[in-house]
Amino acid sequence: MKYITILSIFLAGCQNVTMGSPWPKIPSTTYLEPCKSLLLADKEKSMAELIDIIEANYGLWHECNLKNNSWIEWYNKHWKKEK
Amino acid sequence: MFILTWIPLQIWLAFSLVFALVYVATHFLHFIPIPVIKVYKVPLQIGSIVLFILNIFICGIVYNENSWQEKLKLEQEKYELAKQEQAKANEELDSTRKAKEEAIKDTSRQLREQNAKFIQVMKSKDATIENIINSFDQAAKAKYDALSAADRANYNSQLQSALTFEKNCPVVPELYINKLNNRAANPVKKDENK
Repeated sequence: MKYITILSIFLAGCQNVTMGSPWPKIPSTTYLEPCKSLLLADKEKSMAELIDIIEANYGLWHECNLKNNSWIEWYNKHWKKEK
Repeated sequence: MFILTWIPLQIWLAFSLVFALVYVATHFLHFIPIPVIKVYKVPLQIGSIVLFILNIFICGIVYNENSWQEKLKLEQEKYELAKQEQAKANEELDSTRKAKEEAIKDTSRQLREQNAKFIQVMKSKDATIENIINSFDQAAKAKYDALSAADRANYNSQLQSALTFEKNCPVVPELYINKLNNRAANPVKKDENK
């Protein structure tokens, strides 16, 4: 009897057909590129040159931050709504 | 199953109807004036009942199959629609990101160009406020010209302060540069990393 019960459970099959959402693709391969390394200052530099390098590094941070925020936005758009 | 989709439900229903009619017809065999035909009454009745039941069963299977196929079709349509929506959303996201990235890179490039000119003037022997202002690009110059007298005086004082600093301290101490480089190159403190 228990085998019949188990068999009937398996034979009952799916009650619903649902394919869900397609697996989201990344918008472009740029998303997979790691952030650039920060620039290093050479010795014997003036303050103006050092500030230039620091400013350039801030720019790199903004680029990296944008990439990170884009991932978050992408996740919220495609994955978060599933839950 | 191939046969379930190949033969439509209506055909199976028609077969069932035929077997039901055959069964009903067997009750009227005695009207036919051929005595031998009565022999076939029972086999015909049994056969028609069995085939009728079998057909009804197949009708159920075909109906079930059709309804699942319909559900599957709807899901596939939904899936395709979701795929298109995702592609559209991705396109929007990427175009926004590209525009922002371009703006950041453009700003960095402009700043570095301005800085290069500024550094060049600062390093020259005849570094004056006028020389620095003359090295400005059009946009920076326009911005400078638009300043009020008080703001301009304040900005000039800042430039003078930078010039004085540059003259007094032409090179940043190596200790400071090393500190900055260490932080830029190492995400964590080296001692803590061990």
